[in-house]
Amino acid sequence: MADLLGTFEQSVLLSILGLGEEAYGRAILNGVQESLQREVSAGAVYSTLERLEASGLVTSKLAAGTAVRGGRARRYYTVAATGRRALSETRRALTAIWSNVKLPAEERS
Amino acid sequence: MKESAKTPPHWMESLLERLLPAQTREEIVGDLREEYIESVLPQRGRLRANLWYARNALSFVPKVLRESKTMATLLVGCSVLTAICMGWLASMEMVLRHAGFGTRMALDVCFALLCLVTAYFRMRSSPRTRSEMCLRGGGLLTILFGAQAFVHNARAAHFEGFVFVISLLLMAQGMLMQLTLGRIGENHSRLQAK
Repeated sequence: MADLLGTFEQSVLLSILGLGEEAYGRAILNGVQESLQREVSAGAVYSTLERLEASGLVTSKLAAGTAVRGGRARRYYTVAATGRRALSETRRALTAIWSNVKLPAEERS
Repeated sequence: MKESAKTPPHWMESLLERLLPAQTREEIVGDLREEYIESVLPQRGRLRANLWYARNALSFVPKVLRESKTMATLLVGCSVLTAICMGWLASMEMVLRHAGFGTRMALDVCFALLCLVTAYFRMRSSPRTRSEMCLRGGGLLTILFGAQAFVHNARAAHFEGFVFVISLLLMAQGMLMQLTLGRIGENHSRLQAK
């Protein structure tokens, strides 16, 4: 169980997958905020991206900067094969945990 | 509108650039600048946009503190200092020989050793800073012995409890760091193996 991805990590990875070619820092942050439906700090998202990259779950490449960015490069992220596998494993494990479980509120309705 | 009024305040941007490590500086500052110019400023106005920028810049402070050498040095320095304090308390117990001094002395020595173990593991996880830590540790020792020379009647000070709590907190922090680093490493090697 300790090897499962956390909610935040899952959200970041799924946001990258959803954005496809356009997955860079701020777009990922907005995606995470949308999926978690709460305000998320930029520091937390960038830290998670760094950690995921260090763990080999995502890869990144730098693209040339634009004038609006003051010429600063933009980093695009892609979910690596290990990242996809980790997501599938987490999903499978969570589904297994929740199967046959009925919360009291659900039973009444 | 002047060109400078369309961009984040220069001092805030410079401060963030100084705060962030070189490998992520460019993309983070660029991302913030882009969003500031393209969506935040037109929607919220100058003042609220600047507050937005400041809030986002501040959100990187915990990350920087966690990853910086200063925090590692601080932890090692505090661990070593606490170990010295515990050693000193143990020696005081031996000199004063109050009832039950043996148990207290043994506990003091155990905690001193655990603090040193914490410092060792923290240093091992960032070997590049070892020489720097040794230098700072030496500085701390000098301060400690200097202070001890001034406090002649320090034997009477009952600060065992405080030192005990500090040593426990330091050990907890050290163990937490080791567990976190270990877990990330394990996950990585497990996934790489597949």
